[in-house]
Amino acid sequence: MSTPLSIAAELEHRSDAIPELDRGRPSWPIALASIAATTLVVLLPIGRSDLSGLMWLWAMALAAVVGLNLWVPVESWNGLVVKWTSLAGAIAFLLVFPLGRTNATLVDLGLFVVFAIVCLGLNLTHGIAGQVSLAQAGFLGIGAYVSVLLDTGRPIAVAGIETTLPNLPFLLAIAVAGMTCMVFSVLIGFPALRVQGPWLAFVTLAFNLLVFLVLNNEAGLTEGSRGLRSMRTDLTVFGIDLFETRNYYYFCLVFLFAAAALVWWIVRSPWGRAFKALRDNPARAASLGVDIRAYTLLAFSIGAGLAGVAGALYARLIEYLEPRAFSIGQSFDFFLATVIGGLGTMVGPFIGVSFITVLTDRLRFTGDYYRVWFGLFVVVMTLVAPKGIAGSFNQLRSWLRSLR
Amino acid sequence: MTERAVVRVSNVSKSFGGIKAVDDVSFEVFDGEILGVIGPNGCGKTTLFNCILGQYRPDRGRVELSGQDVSRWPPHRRANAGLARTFQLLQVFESMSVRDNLKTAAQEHIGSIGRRLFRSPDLGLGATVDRLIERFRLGHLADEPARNLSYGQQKLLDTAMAFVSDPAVVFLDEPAGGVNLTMLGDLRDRIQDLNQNDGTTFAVIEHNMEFIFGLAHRIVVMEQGRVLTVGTPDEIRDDPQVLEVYLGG
Amino acid sequence: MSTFIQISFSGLATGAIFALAAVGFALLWQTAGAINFAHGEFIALPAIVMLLLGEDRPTLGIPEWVPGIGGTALGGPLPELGIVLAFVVTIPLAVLVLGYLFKVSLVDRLLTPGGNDIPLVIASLGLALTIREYLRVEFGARPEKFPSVFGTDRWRPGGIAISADDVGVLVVSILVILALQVFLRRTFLGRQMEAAAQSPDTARVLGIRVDRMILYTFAINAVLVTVAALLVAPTTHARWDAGLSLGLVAFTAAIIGGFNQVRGALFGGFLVGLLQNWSAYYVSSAYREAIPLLLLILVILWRPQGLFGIAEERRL
Repeated sequence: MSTPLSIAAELEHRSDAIPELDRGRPSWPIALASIAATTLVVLLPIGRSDLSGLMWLWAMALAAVVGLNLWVPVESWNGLVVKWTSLAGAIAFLLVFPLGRTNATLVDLGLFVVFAIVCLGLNLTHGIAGQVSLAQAGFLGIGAYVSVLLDTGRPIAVAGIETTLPNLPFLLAIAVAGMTCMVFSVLIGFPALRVQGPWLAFVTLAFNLLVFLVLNNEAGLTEGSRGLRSMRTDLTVFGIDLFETRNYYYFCLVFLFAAAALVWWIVRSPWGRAFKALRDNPARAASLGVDIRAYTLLAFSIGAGLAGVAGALYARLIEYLEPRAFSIGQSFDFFLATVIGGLGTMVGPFIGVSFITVLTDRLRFTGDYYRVWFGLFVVVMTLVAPKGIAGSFNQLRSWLRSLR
Repeated sequence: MTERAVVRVSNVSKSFGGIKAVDDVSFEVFDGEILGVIGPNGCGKTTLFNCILGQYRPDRGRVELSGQDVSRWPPHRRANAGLARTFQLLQVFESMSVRDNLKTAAQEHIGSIGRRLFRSPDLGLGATVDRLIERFRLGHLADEPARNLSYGQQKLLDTAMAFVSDPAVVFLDEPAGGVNLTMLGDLRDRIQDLNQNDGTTFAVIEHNMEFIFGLAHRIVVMEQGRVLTVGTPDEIRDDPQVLEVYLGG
Repeated sequence: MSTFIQISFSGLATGAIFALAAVGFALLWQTAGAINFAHGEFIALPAIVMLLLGEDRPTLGIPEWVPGIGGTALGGPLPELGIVLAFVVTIPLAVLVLGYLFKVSLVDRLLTPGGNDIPLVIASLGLALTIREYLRVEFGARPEKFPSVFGTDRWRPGGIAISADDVGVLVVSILVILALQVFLRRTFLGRQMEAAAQSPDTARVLGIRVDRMILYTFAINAVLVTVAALLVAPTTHARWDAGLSLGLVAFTAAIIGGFNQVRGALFGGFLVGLLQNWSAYYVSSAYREAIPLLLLILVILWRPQGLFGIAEERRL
């Protein structure tokens, strides 16, 4: 009698049988409502810096989109329509919103995009694989400095050695920045692998502090606290002049979409399941053949690599690189933002990043106390809604489903 | 059932602080048998399993799988070599669906980590997993997150996960614990089914005497970290030493 | 050579404060499994509170005739007494807020037995941020000069410069540490607490009220951080961001020394103090924190239970 595994081998090349779902009947009103609401959310803000009168309409449209996502069952045809229109709307929003904005706003949007990449990476490391990393800002910094140093061909002096670094094309510099971070992450992740528990948190904490010390003190390498000039007057990739802020924003957006697609693909793959097993129950996972060390390193290094790439993009968005931007406090911010957004969801990082970028301006009414409220919000959230905003959203949706 | 030893434990000892939890234990698990492991509380059964499966490093002794010395291997490597287990405390992956739990348990045996990323997300495991879901009567719950299952259902899932990778030997630690009577019969049927139809070897720690005596071909009795005696259920039942160990004498 | 002794002495004094901080952190971890990332802020906060109580601040409305507290300007007739009295008053406040309230509202709710300690990590990070930012907004404009309880005398026995502050810090710290050790080893309550920390289940079986012991641990920690605040604030000035670096030192010292043994954390604290001073002088002032950090990574790699800790194998 053939064993289950040999049968599996036979079936390996066939697609997997998914039981036929009852998807219900498509409903035109819901589809139309979904498209209409999403279109309003995307189009209304175009060219307007202050919505005033139309603000209510926009808010209602946004509420409608959120409501539809909550209410319509995901497995039905309607659910598919709602999901895809929302996704298309989100992408369209990111593409269209920058039109007609000032450079300052574009830089802010660019920061949102770049930090979203950081939090996407952290979400993979922590949200999916359950590993606490407090070094994302450190990797952001390494990526930023490495890409700038490799891109300008400037002479550096460190530990008595003086050399001039090669001048790499921008894209290559970005790749090297990402890979450097992956290498570092493997090096420091390795000590923490011998034990489970909070050790990676402490090792990453120590690492970020060390990175900051080096960035701040090795003036021969990084210009220290004076700041490293990172802006270039010519930045042409594939014939497009990226010095123009709007072009650069779209350039960053491409990386964001790529990062999101990569993370989504990994989570859906066998790696994703292994990561979740690592998060939910490492001892059980090991007893089932999951190589805990390897997967911890993988999750950690992918997150670090994404932060490195983000760093390379970040460097050109601002004029000067300062070590202060890559301190341990910033790492805490990234971590808390990812947690607030909702761990383990695709949407979570974007929500969380809003709290540390675009919303900080909108919520100025709290005055200087913004970060106090931010901290309190985190504390209250762990008590009341530990799954974060997106996670609570999912819980709400399941609850509504159970009411039907 | 043959007389060929698929797992051989030789002179394994493990101490914690000053306490010898496992003291010079040696025995064999024969290919195709169901081996019961019984003994009063604290006699070292779970510690012994932990030593055999890699959660603990024994202070002394050897563990062999089909002649290969696996004493120094980490748990996941032993699992991939064919040693599967369940834990005394129920352990499933709460956030994942039943189906995903089983896929996770099965996937690590297919190919290498790198290759697995680039194949189809299900690695062709769909049919295997579905078959196991049917065998354990979890079909209606296949897409539910494991945390939504009842204790008994989680227990079935936990046990199913040990089998999905077609292991050589399955070590069950108190599989009947906390399971109600109806499910108990189910569980025994599953184990016998797998043993007789698939030839899977079992080693089972149990406190529920009725359950294990009705299931096992041979039984190992432990006491204070040592092996007291090994025999068939009938032999054990009649052995005055065993009686004394359980009743205090 | 005399420089070496000078630096070492000063390092021991700093290390004594680190030791107090590390012990508190380690005690909470050991007894309650609580990893408190806001530990540093728990030191910074009492420092500010003592400063507030010890000097004349209109907002507090303390009448001028209250001796030692009201109407005392820094540098005035009795600043030390003002601070000492403030310290005495702050201790019960700390025990209430940083001990009892912290335990009941956060730790108990977030630390489930057999569960994850990550929610508490997150909550304590959030708490640390909240406290730090609040202190920054309210008091951050300029670093507050915190008066030293021991005065500012300096002596030169045998050509080695020693400050009264260093001596005072060392003496007080050692007294506190000794008192703690005596309490834990010699008193009945202390031994119960140790038993509860080593093996909660056995302790419960023996009739020890483990939960109450844990509460006492939180109280002791609150006292320790207040003492540490009193001792460290003169050097760091009561800064809003002092908490961050103090907390990091506490973690580092506790882990290096061994977080599951009180004497491990003590050793770790003194070691980190010495290392920082030595590296500041002999290597580079900028990298004074680097050596302990590197040691931390090495310890986690080779001996995660710390230099003095006991290896724990998880019972499954």
